[in-house]
Amino acid sequence: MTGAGVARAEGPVGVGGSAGPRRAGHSEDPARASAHGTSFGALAAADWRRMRHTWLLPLTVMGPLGVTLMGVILFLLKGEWLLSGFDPAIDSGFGILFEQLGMIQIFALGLGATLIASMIVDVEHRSDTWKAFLVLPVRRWKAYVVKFAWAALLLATASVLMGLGYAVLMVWQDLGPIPWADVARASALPWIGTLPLLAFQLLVSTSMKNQALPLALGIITPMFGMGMSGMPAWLPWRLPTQGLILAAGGVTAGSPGEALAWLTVPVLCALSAASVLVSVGAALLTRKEIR
Amino acid sequence: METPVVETHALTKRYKSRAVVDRIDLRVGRGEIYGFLGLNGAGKTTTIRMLMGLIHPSEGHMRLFGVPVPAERLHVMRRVGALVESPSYYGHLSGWDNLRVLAVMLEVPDRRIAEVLEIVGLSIEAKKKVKDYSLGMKQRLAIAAALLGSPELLVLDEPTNGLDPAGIHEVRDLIRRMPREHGITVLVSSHLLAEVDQMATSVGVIHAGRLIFQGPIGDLRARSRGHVSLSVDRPAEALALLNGQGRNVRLAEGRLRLDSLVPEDAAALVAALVARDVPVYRVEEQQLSLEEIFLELTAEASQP
Repeated sequence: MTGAGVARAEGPVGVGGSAGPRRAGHSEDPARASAHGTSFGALAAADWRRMRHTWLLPLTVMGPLGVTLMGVILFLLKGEWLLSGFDPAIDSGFGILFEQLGMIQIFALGLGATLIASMIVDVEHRSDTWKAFLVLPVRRWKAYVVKFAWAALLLATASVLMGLGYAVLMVWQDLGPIPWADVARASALPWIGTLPLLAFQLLVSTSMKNQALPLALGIITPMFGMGMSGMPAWLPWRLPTQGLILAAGGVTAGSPGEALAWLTVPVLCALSAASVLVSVGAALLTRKEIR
Repeated sequence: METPVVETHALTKRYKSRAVVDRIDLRVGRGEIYGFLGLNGAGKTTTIRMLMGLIHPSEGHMRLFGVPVPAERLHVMRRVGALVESPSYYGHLSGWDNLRVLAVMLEVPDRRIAEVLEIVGLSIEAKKKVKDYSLGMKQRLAIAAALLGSPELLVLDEPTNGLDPAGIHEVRDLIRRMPREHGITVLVSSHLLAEVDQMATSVGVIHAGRLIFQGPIGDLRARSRGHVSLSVDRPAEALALLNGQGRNVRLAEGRLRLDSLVPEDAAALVAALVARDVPVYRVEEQQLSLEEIFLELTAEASQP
């Protein structure tokens, strides 16, 4: 805290004559609120302002909308076949829907994570604004965590909208009462499973200015991830599918007891992997030379 | 002694083994306009980036307002406004919204955005998207951004780069007003001697990573005092003639050179030549170029 002490001891500026009212106001406490730098809230608000007029927000809506529209097409083309022998009293209408669209949802989530992670940092890369904003009293790791939080929130919004999309499809096809608990799991578990991928993509996108490689990586690897069954289960590219299986498992089992099992191994794995990757990304940004 | 606003001690930045900035001791006093002068690639931007905490020094210490940075930079960066190299902006946002992003982080009210836009004369274009701004307007927006937090130290890296003469004039005017009207200390880098000469009160000259001069602008001005150059017929003969009369004249690049700017000295020289029927074609006063001053300073610096 010696720094703050020195800063205060110097007091108001005397050089240059008239020091206007705003200067007087400013020198009350030059070290004010600076010990921790800009707050999370202020950083988040700044990011929100940056995001406006970009494709981030439309994309968040377009993803789930696209998957829902694919569901519409699917039912228009082979709805009769899908629903042959469907009995609302016995079968889960949502189960049929999720079986068809779950994989597409996972794929869209992976793609969305890649695009969101890239766009949220490319705002700074493209305009060369890292330097303008990191010369402010900002802790770099905080700035990074806030960017991840925004990306995760956008992806969560897309997931909620996806859940609504499922509900709409169910109402349209008259698939029986909507099992909201199952829909919530179908929204949340793939989202949680995608967080490590999001964290990984954000790390890669932040560390390089040219976004071609991060984008290519984020589009290709999730496809392989779906077939990576021989690889360790905690890999970011395997976790989304596990989230999907978990959600589908709850749906097919249909027992309320199983539906409550949120804190399962894949979920804990995903949350830990995401935390580790965000920490690594934050550390990398902190050490990064901004040229 | 008053705490300097900027102080570095043996500040060094090495890439691989090459020192881009080599043991620099910078000292900027309060209320000064400090011109940081050097050719492109001399190490100006690297030094400024280290001061601003964007890159890490290889060696040495830095203090802003007496506070060690980057260790305690959060304590002082609120008091610093910076424009590092080319202006950076969010092209998809308006000038106002660009400043709004920074204002939110600095926790300053919208009123302040209007104020700084007024200072740099961008109030009318505030709602236009920045990608449609001219380079001069972008530069002024960047200066507005640097002023946003009401800083006590303004760091401007080549603020007139790429501007047209009118823009250069405006920015220079703006900088000169800072200490007087707002009590702000300014550290401004440039590769143009004339530019620094017109606004700085103190100057630091950096060459190949070394600080080869630091002091009041008057001291540098004295060094850069020019000479009179005479273009004559038969220069060698004229030189022998003048030296024979005990006049201190040299021959440089086929012209006679007189290291004095006293008008009478030049007049006497011309009179002497004309008296001996040596045609004088042209008499010019020549200023030392920045390169020449560098050569002179580096020559001195490398002397034991």
